[in-house]
Amino acid sequence: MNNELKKKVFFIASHVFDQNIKKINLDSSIKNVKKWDSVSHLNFIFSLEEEFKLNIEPMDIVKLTSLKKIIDYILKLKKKGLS
Amino acid sequence: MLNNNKILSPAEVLKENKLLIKKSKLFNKINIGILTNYSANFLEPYIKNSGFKFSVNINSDFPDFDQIEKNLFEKKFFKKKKQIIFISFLLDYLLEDLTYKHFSLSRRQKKNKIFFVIERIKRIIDLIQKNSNSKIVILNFPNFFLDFNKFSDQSIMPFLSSVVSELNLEMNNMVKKLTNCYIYDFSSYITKHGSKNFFDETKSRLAFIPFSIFGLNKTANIIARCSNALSSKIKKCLVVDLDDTLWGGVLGELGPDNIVLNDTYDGLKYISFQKKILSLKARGILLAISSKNNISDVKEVFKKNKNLILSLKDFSSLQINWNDKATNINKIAKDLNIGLDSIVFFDNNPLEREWVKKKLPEVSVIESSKSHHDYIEDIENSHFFDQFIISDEDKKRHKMYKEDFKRKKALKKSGSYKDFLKNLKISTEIKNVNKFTIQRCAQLVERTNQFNLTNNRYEASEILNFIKNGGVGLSIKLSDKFGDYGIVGFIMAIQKNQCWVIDEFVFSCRALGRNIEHILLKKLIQKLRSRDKQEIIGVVNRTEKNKLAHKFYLDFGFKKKGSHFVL
Repeated sequence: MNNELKKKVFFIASHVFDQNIKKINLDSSIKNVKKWDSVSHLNFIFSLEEEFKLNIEPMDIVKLTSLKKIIDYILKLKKKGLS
Repeated sequence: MLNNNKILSPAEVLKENKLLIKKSKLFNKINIGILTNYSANFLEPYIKNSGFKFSVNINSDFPDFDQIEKNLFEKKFFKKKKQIIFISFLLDYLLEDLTYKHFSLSRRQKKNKIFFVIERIKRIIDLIQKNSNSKIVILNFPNFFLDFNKFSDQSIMPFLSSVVSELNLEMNNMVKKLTNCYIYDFSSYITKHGSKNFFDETKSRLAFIPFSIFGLNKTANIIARCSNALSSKIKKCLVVDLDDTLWGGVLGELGPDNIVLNDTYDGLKYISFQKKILSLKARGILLAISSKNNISDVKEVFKKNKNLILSLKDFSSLQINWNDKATNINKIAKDLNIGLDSIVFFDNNPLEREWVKKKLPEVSVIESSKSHHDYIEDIENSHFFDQFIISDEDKKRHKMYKEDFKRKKALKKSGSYKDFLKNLKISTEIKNVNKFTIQRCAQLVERTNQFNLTNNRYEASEILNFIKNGGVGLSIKLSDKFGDYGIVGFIMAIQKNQCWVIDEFVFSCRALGRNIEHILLKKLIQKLRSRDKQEIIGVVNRTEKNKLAHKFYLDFGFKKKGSHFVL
């Protein structure tokens, strides 16, 4: 299940940051991805909201600056949803 | 059905765009500008995606956020030429204080606020029209979406929405007086979908993005449709089938008394579809039938069935036979003297549609839904009939084709072409082009391909500009005993290097063959000669379609000089 999620997040990232999927990994972040700027960051967040049917809090949006943080966040939200 | 109803996330849109990049190199390019008081750059990939669905490649340009006037003044915005500039303001940002102050403002204060908004837009339009020839499309004001009023306030105090209505009314009045400036009813569109679905308060507070993902998709689609409507060839004719299209069932099998066209649920749906088609006719779209049926059966239906909205007279061409539909459409194009690329085909049978698409690729085919419940939406979503201007000529088109039919009959009857012309009782009227006739003249310039000597597709504003700077523009009206053609020709000469240059000369192909175009040219020469004895240069820019006009000037004593002609 986690792998499914990871795959989906990576795919979305490759499209919004215009980067080859092979170069996307858990360490990809705003610091090392060239086209990860404020506009593409928001496009990323909005796409994740659509894909996983989430509402990401504005306060958290600024913090989610790496794929690892994002995947952990989504997993946390999903766990909350189930309980 | 065109897949323009799916709501895409930014990632999905970017992905689709990437897949279509190669194909898009073949598309026509449209450059647009978008002036907004919100973050419009999130619309950009959506606009591109919507454009791809119409086979156009739309490039959008935005000024820096909240820097509209600054960017326009500095003119760098005009460096890259744009065919269309969109203006969209949301009152929630523009008149933000109104949302919580409006009960404490006097009527005069409210009027002032409205005045300042209109003045600002006027100034922006002015700047654009002074520095470019771009067409302007204004998305009018939707209702406030950040609304703090509760029911009790709204029921006893003046509505906040009355400010919006007044603003939109003022804007209508302002735009009516301008050329090349249009309004799209954004407000009604959003009402139809609901503000709650269209806007997103969180995104708005986060980054001045007022729209939800749904709103982004829909707004971009509107912008793409408007761009397409203003830059693509107008469709002049809708060809429809009969069975399971205008009524339910196959006439040949059920007989005229048993087709579904009554007050049952299904019957009413077909009646509604007929009303939709009739409304197209009122806008100037010609109607034609291509149906595999016995004509006697069809005539009986149209004679007996009281539930029909349409009558046979509403159609300008009837191809009711057992020929294939491509042959029929070709005949329709010939009968109506229009190009195949002006025709839209609607048929519920996918095999017929595939056949026509294969045989006549220039014809626009609507991918109709399986169920007749969706036919009206199919026509509306197809964008083929999107139009901002409906000219007087458009409204009279059906009548004009009827009169043409009578002329053809008279020609057949008369002994010779000369006799025919003599009996026509032709009368013409030549006038200087003015603000009432400019739209029709500009329409002729845009649409005429065969008798179009220069192929300079000048816009209304450009033509008026030429006239203001000393040019001469004449339009000619034609009528005969069968009816009025309206304005059929336009010619314009401008001063260049101490010569007169005939930079525009177009003539409707419906009116050719009577030497009326000769009358127009003679009048122009007369006018120019009454002013001075300068050389008159007849410009001819050859295209594939204007072959008949290549040697036109030679008949008037012009001498060939290079690719043009000089008197």
